[in-house]
Amino acid sequence: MVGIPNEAYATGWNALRWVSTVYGFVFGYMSTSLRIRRAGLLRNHQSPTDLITDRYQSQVLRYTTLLLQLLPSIVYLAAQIIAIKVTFNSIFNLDPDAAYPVVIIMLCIVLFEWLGGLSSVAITDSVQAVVMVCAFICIPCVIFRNFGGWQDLDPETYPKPQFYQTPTRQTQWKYWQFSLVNFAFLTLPHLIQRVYAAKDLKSMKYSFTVVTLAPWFTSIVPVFMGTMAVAFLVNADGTTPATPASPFTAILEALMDLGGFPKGIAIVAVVASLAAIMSTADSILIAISQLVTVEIIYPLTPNASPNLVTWYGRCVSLLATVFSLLIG
Amino acid sequence: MQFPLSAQAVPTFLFALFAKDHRTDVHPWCLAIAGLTSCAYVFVVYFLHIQNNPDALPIDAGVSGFALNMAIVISLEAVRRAVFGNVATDGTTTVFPGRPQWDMPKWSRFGDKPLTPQLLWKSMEGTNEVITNPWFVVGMVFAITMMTPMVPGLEPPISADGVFAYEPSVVNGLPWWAFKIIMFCLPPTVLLLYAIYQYPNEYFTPDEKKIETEGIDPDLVELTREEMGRRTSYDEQNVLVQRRKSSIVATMEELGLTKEMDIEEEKATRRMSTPSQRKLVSLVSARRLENHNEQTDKIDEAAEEMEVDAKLAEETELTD
Repeated sequence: MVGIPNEAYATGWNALRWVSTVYGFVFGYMSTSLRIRRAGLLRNHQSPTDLITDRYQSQVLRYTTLLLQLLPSIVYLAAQIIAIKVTFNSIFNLDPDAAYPVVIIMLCIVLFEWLGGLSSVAITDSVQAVVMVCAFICIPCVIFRNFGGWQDLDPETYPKPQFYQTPTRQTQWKYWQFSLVNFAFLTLPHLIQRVYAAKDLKSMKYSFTVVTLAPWFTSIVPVFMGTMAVAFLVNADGTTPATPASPFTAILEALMDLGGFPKGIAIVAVVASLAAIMSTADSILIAISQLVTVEIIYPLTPNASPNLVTWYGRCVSLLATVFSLLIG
Repeated sequence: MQFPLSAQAVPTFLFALFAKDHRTDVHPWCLAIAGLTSCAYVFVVYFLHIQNNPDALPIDAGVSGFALNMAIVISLEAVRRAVFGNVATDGTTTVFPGRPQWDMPKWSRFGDKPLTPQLLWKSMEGTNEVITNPWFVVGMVFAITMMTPMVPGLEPPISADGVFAYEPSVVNGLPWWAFKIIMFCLPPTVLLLYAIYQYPNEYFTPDEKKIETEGIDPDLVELTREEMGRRTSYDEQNVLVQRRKSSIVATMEELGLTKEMDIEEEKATRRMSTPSQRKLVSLVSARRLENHNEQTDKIDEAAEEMEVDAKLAEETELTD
């Protein structure tokens, strides 16, 4: 939700690929969750790799799957760290390369995860999602009222007229592939964790319904924000588009300059966007922690007490954070 | 990068979940080799070809890696079956026997029998799954594909000074192809909402009468909240679950449900619920009980009733 306005500002309506890709993600996740959960309820699966371990009884495949779950999770976590750094530093006009804010934020995330575990991660996910959706319903209304809507754009005077051209063949090929590749989200460990942790199938059904309808608010709205921002974030000459480091924060700053309700909504959106990135980061962190602890450390220390295993998990969270900070 | 990498684990999960039996199952080493190879492919393609290369081919490392992954899986499995024959079994000890000991993980925490494809499919009987409908899968892929613009590229042309050769078509201010994408979001939304509507609110379980007369596979009894997550060591066997399953098996043996019944005998049994049948149902439905003490009491009560019934049966025999 932070990245899509940035992408729309840079590439125009091609950013609608994020709408298409959500359907592939929901299709894959929903279709497989029934069996993953059923197997978990019958066989006491706890770790995201337990299904594969139980089904094939092969260490080779087990650790291959572990690798294929860990690698994308670490990359995903590093991407969240970069997003926190760019967004936070941009909002508070800090040096774009300043690392200390994101280090402090990540240490706070680790601490809250230690204290609250998966419950705190899931609850904060839900709360920030509600706040974010509310903000993303209000922001287009504010933009529409103060800067106009898509119907007010003139292709002849639009600062980036190339956005009105049809995408190239290469872009269309990539678009199609991107729409399908996120079927693979079903293998991500933090999503499998949620399948196991769900209260019942009914609550999963509600979640899938929300995610299916979400693109209409959480993907199309950011594209609107990004494409409209090209028109009102212009340089002093009034025609050439500005080149902010983070178009998303530049959009919110423009709304803050309006004062009143727009300023309030922009502040909420800033906070909510940071919270969204942080909650994604802590979900991935707890998944990495469980994978490494249960699949690597626990088998080496099979008689460790539950308390000791919990501390192993905490240490892994900290190490994963440090490693991802170095990468990010 | 995370999307292409996570796509390489998809074949493993799909075969694990949806292979029907040993004929459609795949050897774990084939899946592992394919996964590692396609993972390496993703890194090579992404860093050596796609990244920072304006002339890169329009290939997604994840989708092409997935295709490579599946091709390797199928090829390796075909070669393996040609050379060694299909050694997959019905999985009384393990699904693919004949592997070295270092490849066998500890799995007693999951149960005393392996999780076979047959068991997984049996556990899903009666539950509506749209992904098992090939037409739905085809429909979803088609609906998602139709969201791709699929138009001639770079129209209308723009001159060097930024002037259109002709005015672009717009719909409510949107380029027409962007409007088309948004409109084509509707079919997959509708399809998914239909699939969610078909999503069950709970897993199918046989009704009590069927359990009383035909019994139930103990391996298909869901764990209760109390039984799940109980581990004080890495591969500790779940004693609570074993105890409940043993009670179920014992009760079913007492009812003679493990043997083939005479049709008339079956009809007679259907007409009334005996205490033993009621015990069996209560053991199976322990999941519905929230209170652990109540569950323990039920199991103890069932055990006591079994003892009473056994004594009654003894006395009846003596009287006869």
